[in-house]
Amino acid sequence: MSQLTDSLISDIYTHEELTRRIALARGVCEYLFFKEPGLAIEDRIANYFKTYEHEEQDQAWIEKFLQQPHTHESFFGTIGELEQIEKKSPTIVLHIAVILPALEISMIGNWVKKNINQQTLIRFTYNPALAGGCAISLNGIYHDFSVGNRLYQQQEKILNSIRTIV
Amino acid sequence: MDIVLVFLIGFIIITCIVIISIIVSVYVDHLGSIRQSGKLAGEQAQASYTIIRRAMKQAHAMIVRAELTGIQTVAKKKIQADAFEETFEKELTKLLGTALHNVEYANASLTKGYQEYLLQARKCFESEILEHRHRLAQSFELVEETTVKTYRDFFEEQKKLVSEELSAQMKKTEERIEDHRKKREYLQDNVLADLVVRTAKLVIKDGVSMESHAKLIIDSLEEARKQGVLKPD
Repeated sequence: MSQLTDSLISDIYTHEELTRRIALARGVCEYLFFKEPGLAIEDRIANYFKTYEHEEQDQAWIEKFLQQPHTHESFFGTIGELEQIEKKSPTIVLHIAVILPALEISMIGNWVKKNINQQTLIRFTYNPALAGGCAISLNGIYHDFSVGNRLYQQQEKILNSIRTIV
Repeated sequence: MDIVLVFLIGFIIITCIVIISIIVSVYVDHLGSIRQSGKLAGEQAQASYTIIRRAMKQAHAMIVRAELTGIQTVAKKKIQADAFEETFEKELTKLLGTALHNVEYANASLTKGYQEYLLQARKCFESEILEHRHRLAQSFELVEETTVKTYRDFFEEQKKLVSEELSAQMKKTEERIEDHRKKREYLQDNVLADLVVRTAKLVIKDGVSMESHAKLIIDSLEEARKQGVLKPD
């Protein structure tokens, strides 16, 4: 795996994000090689950014992706490497209560990369009943470490507290 | 004796005499021819003739006597028959009278007997009916007493059973009420606890910042790592 590929996946923490970025790279390549074949590659890149507006993060990632030889083989070779990572990376499924913004996802993703595996990707599912924290599905086994589960485990204590009050 | 019979007897006797006379005459003639003696034959013929005549006279006299006897006998018998007929009619009339009297008597006696029998039977029936009525009344009284006693016993028994059943049901109901009260309390407590948990969850879910959520998730991951669920590769 090339340094560029490592760089490209450094800020990607979820399967969905990697899939989306691969689709983005394919879109760029298709524009560059099939949309305006008569123009020089630099002009095509300029035209692409004029035609499509992206968020800041995506814009930065595309620019990073384009920092390689501007050949068909090179671009699609990188895309192939990204697809291999998508297929082969270990995955951890996290069940959480709320849809998190990118910053919080990056916090969690960094923890995973640091404490489990650099190439591990996350799949998020959402279940409001969990309240907070997360449950983990790993190798087909469900492990509940959520706040909701902890509260239910403490229900007897809560009940005793209520009885004491009443 | 019947007159015809008298005549018949007379006729038979006469005929017998005639036949004997003829036989004697023939015998005499035969003897006369054998001896062929004239004188002797004449005497013998005269004697035969005399015998025959005598015999004929006797026969005639006998017939006359027989006829007379027959007539007398017939007359006597006729007189006897008339007397007998008269006597018979008298006796018959008497017998009929007696029989009629006996029948009337018997009829009257029978009627009286039947009346007496019927009266006696009526008395007997009435007596039996009264007796039966009395027995029946006694039986009814006995049955009534027995029935009343049976019903009273049955009623007392049922009353006792119902009372026992009611007591048992009351006890069960009280137990159920107590059980229900405990369950309701338990349910109320649980509902309350569930309510607290749900409220807490809602508060945590919606009242906590995204950063805190991320921290809670990281706490969960740390817990998982401590428990060995997550292992570094």
